[in-house]
Amino acid sequence: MNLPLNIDFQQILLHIFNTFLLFVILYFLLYKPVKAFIDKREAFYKEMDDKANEKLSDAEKLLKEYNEKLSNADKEIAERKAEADKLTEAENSAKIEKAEEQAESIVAKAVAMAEKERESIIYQANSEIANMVSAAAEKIVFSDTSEAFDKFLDNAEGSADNE
Amino acid sequence: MSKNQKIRSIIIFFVIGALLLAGIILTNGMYQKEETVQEVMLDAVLHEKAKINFFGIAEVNPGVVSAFGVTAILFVFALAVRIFVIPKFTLIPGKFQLLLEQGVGLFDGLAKSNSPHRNKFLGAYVFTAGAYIFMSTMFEMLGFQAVTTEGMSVSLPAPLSDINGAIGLGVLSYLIILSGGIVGNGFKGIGNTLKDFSLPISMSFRLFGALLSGALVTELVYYFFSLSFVLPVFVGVLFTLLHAVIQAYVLTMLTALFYGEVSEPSKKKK
Repeated sequence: MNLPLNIDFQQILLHIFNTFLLFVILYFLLYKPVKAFIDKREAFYKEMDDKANEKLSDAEKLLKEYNEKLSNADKEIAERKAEADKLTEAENSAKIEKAEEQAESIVAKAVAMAEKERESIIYQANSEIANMVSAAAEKIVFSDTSEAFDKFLDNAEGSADNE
Repeated sequence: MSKNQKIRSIIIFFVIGALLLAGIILTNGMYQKEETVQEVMLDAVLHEKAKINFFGIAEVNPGVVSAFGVTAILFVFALAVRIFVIPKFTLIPGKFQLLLEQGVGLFDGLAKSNSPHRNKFLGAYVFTAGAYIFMSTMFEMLGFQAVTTEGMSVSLPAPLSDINGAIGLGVLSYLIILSGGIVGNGFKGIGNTLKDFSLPISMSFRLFGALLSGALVTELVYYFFSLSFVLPVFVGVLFTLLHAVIQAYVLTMLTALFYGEVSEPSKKKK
């Protein structure tokens, strides 16, 4: 069969066979191994990138945690300080109160003791006066009136000087 | 380099150039042209006269021998790379490794960008097609000689400047697109591919036209003695390099584009 332009089916098939052969050769010897290497390298760098991103995210998380802890620590310190201040103030107030109470009790005791001593002095003075009165009365009864009177006066003066 | 050495080098270059020119002029006319320029160009298009015996199977156009020659060269190259280069690949690539990776990555990227849903096989095919078109176009510059059945010497042309080679690659690319349609969309994919029935013809003849025009211009330039100086540097080397790159890119891009279009899963209507 003579086709125009010298077209020959047998030669077309030979060309197609040749291209198919070339496809098989280039696919197995060149395309597949080179592409496999490219994919392998891509996977390697992707893995490296993923790991780096993972580490970065971990580091960011850690930084966030530390910042939170730091801010919490500041807050805690302020709280504890306030608490300690409060406690100190309460202790101081209690001590002052106690001291005041003690002072009051000491003053009360002192007042009571002074009162007691005063009463005892008054009582002693009264009893001495009574004794002197009775002694004077006795002497008046048992001696002259003038003498007795003079003696009474002397005694009274003496006792006043003593006091 | 001293001044004397420079002068000596220039003189040597001039002497060699003058000797070559003298040789060219003296040998001109020693050989009679057996074909007219019309015959040479007609044969470059139709390949009716120059036939080569292909392992006793058939008498074929020189393009078929060129095609198998290109495959043989690429096979040796790929084998050497597989054995000596690929096992020594490193994470930070050297110059040659980078070149190989760029080659594979270029066609893989082309397949992925044009057919995002299905591209593994397509990537391998466009890589093969791209490498084949580029290398086969460059092959004509090597000027390998073969003996025709008539006992004449013929320079092996680019395989795709033979209409049968161009049709072969065009039809194969169309079949690859069709396979993508079937795998991706079943019967609908076949319909989508057959809709573009002009595709194999357009792809084949685009390749044939581009490669043939290059071959014809080269034949024309080399046929005339007066055009054989300086001009072949542009016509023979730069143009060949340029259309090797352009044709490799055009066919692979078209194949990837149509493959992606017909294999794209159709959206179900709600």
